[in-house]
Amino acid sequence: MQGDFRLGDRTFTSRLFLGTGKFSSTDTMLRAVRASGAELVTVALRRFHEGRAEDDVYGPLSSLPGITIVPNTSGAMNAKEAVRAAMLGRELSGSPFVKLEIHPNPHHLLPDPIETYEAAKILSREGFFVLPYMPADPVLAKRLEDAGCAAVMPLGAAIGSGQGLTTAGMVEIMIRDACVPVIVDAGLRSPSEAAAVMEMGGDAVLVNSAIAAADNPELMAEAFAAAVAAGRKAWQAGLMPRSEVAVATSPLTAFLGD
Amino acid sequence: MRIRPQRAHGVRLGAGCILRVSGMVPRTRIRGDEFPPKVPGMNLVVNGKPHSHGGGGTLAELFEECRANPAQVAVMINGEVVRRAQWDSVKLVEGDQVEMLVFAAGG
Repeated sequence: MQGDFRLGDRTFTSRLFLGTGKFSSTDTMLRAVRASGAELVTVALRRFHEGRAEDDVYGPLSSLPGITIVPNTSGAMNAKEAVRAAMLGRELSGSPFVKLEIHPNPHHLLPDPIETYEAAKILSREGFFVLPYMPADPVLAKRLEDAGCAAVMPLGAAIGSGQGLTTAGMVEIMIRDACVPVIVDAGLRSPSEAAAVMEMGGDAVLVNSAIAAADNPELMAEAFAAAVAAGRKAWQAGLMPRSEVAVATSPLTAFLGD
Repeated sequence: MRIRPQRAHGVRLGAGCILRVSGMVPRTRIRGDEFPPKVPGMNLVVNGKPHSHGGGGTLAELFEECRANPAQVAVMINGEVVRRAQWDSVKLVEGDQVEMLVFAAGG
């Protein structure tokens, strides 16, 4: 009913993507992923440590049916490092999807637009399906699209901040202009914000902290899934036009008066 | 790292080249038999820590030493990503810096 969603060489039914960070345990994360119905999840890279097999997320995630695991380039400070991280991620995932994120400042974790653009060009040329985490900048979105990105992923607010869809106006322009999917990533706190993205015609949302840091991540994953589905349906149904004045819904015949 | 045949022809010698040259220095001294007895194993840096490698410098041996599951690691040697298809032709040399990466939870 939501309408399948084409991204890279894959087709997704669910328009809710999940990040796997910050969950209290791998088990909680897996239950949330299942409850969300997400078919795309993001993961990070870290150094291998002997004897830390319990941290392994690849095994359990890949055992879930129909999940595309997309490595991110978190930790990269510039384009060169991001390209390297993407190549390492591809070795692990065996697929060309990469969530490109370059945020050199740990205080706000805002994406570096110039390095992101440079890396996007290189990686797209190398055959990657690049999903760039980016500022909600409609001009940059077109540039990233021209660079060959498979989608654009504007931030709603700073990563993990839960400040919500502070960039709504810019995201709306991006959605109107885009020739590739627009996926809002980062900053969302409540399912209603995810619904708002979908109502304005966004293609998907990527949520992590809002679910991982909820009291009940599994239930919150369900709530986000329902909100995304509802928002998508609302967009498909077409919202009514706004009016400056009231437009009566009941006949105003004056039979009650004299 | 030596990946045959590219490296054998001396092509694309980057940072690894410098490391290999510095790795040669103790061996020259050993021949001059003043200094010091040859250390057992090959000295590598694995994930930022010194690692004495007891094998013949193959990645398969290194994975076994580190108890890493080859199916779940990605490898970078001296800053260069080594694709899975190239693993069998890698010959590690003294001083090589090896990074072994795995997936972790992340957003």
